[in-house]
Amino acid sequence: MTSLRILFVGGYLAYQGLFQWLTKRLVFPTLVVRPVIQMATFTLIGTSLGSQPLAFYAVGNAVHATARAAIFAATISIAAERTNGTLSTVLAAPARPVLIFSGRLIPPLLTGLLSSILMLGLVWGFTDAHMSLGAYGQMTLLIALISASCSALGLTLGSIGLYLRDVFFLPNIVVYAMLLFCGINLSATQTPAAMRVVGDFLPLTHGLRAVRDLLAGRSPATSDWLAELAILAAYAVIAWLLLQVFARRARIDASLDLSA
Amino acid sequence: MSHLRFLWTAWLFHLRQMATVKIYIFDSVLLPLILATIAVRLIGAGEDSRATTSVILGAALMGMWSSTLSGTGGALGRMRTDGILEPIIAGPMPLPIALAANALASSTLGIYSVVATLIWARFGLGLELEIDSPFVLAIATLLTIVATAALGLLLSVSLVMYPRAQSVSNIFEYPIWLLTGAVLPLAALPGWVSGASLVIAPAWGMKAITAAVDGDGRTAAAALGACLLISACYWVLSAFLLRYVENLARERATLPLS
Repeated sequence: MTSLRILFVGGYLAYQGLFQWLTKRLVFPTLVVRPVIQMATFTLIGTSLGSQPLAFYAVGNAVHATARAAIFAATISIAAERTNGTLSTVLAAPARPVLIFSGRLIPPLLTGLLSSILMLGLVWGFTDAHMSLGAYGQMTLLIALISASCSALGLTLGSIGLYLRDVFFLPNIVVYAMLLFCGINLSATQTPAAMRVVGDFLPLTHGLRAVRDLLAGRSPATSDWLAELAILAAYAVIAWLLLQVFARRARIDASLDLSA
Repeated sequence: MSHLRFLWTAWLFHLRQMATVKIYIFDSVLLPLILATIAVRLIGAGEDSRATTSVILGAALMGMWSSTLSGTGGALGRMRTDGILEPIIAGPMPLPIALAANALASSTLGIYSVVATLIWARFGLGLELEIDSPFVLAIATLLTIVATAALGLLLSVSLVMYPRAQSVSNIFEYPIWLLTGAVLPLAALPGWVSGASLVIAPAWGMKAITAAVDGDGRTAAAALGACLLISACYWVLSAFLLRYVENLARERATLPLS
């Protein structure tokens, strides 16, 4: 029961505190305007320079918005504590860090999910991508799974950031590298084999393939579901381990509250 | 004279500092490499080497703008968090000059963008690059840096006025990518976008860069003239607006809010 309270109530309270800039005035530009502009920009670039139909780029970038939100939210949940000088207090608390930080991911996951669904709705409205009524449930589950696996990756990067001081450097690289590796803007034939291998170990690649299948009226391959799930589990374990290791390391080096 | 000396010293100081911050290195080096690779992969093989070179340099311009956006927005945020925005405003040096040094330093990192993308394109992607007028390209790059800094300074007006605007300032990243014609030719975009790009100084810088690649001296000279003129307008307008919002922020006591 206490664990659930830490997870949900703690997560909600931390969300209010850490994402304090997310006021009524800024929520619309942050969760709607920016992702839509990103989607429009890369869709325009893709359709003008590439050979795939408009829906290919629009869907890829709509789902990437979820990844971006999830990765940064997870990173902010660690970085903002550090900036506010409260990270040492949080880590010294009797609650398990993995519960504390996992709880913080729930509200941004929900907002990211809503943002992504809204954009997929736009894709549906403006392109020829369509989906049967029965596929809605699967699509929501898929987006939630992608969000969760990206959050696990974000938490992993945030944990590494405990050691590197500059918490936002790695997430920025990963978020933009995903544009290159995960089949968002490049089809499989346009992506070199080495880049495809890297993409296979990143969240989003398999989930996005399943999303594209659903929108094409096909049933997503079970292997894609399983691969995305496996990636979620793998990054969650890595994040948990790194959080322990680097938190201890940061205490030894007295670098817990240092930020670049 | 003291203003110019301050501008030079502060520019050098900010540039040295920014060159060691990883997030600016990402914006000015890694981001353009990622964007250039995506663009080149989308275009595919067989494209004219001059057109490919222009796309590569366009990706560099995108990185230049991203680092300027992070630099101008991030600097004001840092000044607020560290509590030094008020002393800077109270100091004898006008605020527009203090911020201009920062904007110029962040856009100067664009030199990294240009060099890194050209090296990556040649040796990483194995592309044949062709630049007909390297000297004109160098001048066009320098003027584009000034133009990008001027646009960043203009944006910082809103950041002085509205402390929380920094959180959404990165919304301006993508529209400027498109409006400058950095990766897509403006002709490929709706007519109103081309119209709007006429008042975007870095768009003229990009035109000059493309003309330098093609060896079209006359177009490059005209574009450089327009770039210089519009940038000068930005600087003057920013100076005027910054003085105005500075007074307003003092009256409303919003300066130290972060």
